[in-house]
Amino acid sequence: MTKQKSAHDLNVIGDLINLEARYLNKADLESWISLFTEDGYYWMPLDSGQKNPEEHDSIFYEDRILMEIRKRNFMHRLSPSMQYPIRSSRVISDIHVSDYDEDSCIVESSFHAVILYKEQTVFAGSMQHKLRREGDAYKIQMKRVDLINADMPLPPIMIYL
Amino acid sequence: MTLSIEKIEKLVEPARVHSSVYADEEIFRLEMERIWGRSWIYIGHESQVRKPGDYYSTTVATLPVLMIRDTKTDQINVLHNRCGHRGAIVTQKQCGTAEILRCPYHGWTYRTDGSLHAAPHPGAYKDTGMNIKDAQYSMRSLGRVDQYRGFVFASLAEDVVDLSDFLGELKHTIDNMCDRSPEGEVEVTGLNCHRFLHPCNWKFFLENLHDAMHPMCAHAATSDAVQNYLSDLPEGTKPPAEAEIIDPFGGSYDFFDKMGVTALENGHGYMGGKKSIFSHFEMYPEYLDAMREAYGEERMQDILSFNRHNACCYPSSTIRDGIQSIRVLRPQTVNSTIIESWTFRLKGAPEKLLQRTLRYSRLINSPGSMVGPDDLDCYYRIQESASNGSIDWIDLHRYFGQDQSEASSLTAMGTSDLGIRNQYQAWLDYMRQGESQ
Ligand SMILES: [Fe+2]
Repeated sequence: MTKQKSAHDLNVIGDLINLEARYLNKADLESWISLFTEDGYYWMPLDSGQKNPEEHDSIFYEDRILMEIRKRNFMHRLSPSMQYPIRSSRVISDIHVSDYDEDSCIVESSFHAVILYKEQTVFAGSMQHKLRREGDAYKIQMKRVDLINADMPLPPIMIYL
Repeated sequence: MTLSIEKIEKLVEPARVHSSVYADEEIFRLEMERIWGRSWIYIGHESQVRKPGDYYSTTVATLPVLMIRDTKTDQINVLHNRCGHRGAIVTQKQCGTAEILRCPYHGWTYRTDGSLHAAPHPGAYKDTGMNIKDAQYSMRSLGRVDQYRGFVFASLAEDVVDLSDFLGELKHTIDNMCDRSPEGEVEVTGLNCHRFLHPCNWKFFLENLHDAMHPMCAHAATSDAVQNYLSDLPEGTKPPAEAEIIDPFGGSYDFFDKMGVTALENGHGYMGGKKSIFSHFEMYPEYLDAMREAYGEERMQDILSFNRHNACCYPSSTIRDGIQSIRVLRPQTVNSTIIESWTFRLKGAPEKLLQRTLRYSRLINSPGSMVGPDDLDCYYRIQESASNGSIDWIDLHRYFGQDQSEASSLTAMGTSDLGIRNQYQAWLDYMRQGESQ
């Protein structure tokens, strides 16, 4: 992206990143999906150095279609693994714009997410949001989550982080 | 105190097993010694260690080992990952490259074949009666190391049958994974794999691969979610690529019965044969062209109509040749197992096939998948009951007494417990060997 004088308001961006986390905290996947562009996707790589989700395995790599399927699967009455409460609380910090052009920007941040699923587990790492302006607001074109323990043995991850 | 062979034999009946085989720590210890210590264990693929000195660390029967490519011979060695001096683990890295391995405690160094390169201050051992050149002070090789078409196996024990005989019929499964490449070779997609923590005994995972009665129940939510999504699409919309992968998980009992299950020697087995959960996968024209060019029409048809899935290489791994993935069991304790999932690229095949392999891995094998956690939760529920003593016996009666005998195998309806009963025959054979060997 070519750097120009930023026309991106960090307050508006920060509100969106926090709203996204709030929807996940409430497990409101319907509202959460609506924050993404039509071609938007959610990606959690297996390797922190991974450049491209199509060259190597990923923990998550989901477009709107898979988000819609996951929404229908979440807390499904027939799922054995979803008979337990799934509750989460996310804290995001250091939200900053790392790159931008006129219509889009890349926002980086770090997060802690505490998930209650059978037991309480902490996930932590960094996030990258690629935001695109659509009308007066931003939509998420890509959300990348790099766990600090992506390459370690992991328990099931029952909800997007 | 070691359990007597008579007591062990009482735990396994022809069509049920005692729940303590999943929960008893002494049995777990004996399994590591007699099953995992006396059979060929899957270590990794040669493409994980391409260059001389490349290494990858893992475990065999809970012991740390190192797969390393020899800087002199280019062969792949599998060494005990511990110093010959005071026993410290030599490397804690998952993978790396080293011409010389160095123990960080007292600086003993080893060549890539495990032999001692140097011990600092050697004069201090003069006239002490210790000969540091003695093999016991090296990073010893495992008892046996061999590979089949790039898949590396090792055995702690020396007196085991050759790898080729151990694999037997399963060699065709490995052949088929490789032959699906126009170049006849596969390679790992990366040096990292999914590592999915399973808080349960290792056998639940292996048994589930031969349990075709569970998908339509345990995975009903996921197939329902997919169906529900598809029904919301405008008529005539092409279903997404995920649908062909999830579809079989909602298959009927009849669908799985017709697929069949085959039990092989040494506890191995596979599902399918003429038909598998991959046989309906879309065939990409550009892939068929590449295969036809490499093999000719007839051989290509042979390769692509080979339809097995969930081949189990008892006790350490399960192979899906049709989608190029291997899952590896790394037992930690009686109720904790790490399941590794590796994906492979078919050399010379179009990218679309790799995309499908990766899609499959994310949908089914990843800790973030919708399918894997439902399986795991079912194992976890039985583990709880086995551990808390609320059950005595675990049943294996499905289609009992109705196996069909083939040359060196048994076959049955797909939802039969034959595959699991067969695993317990191998379990008994190994466990009966006692301490004498
Ligand atoms: Fe399953």
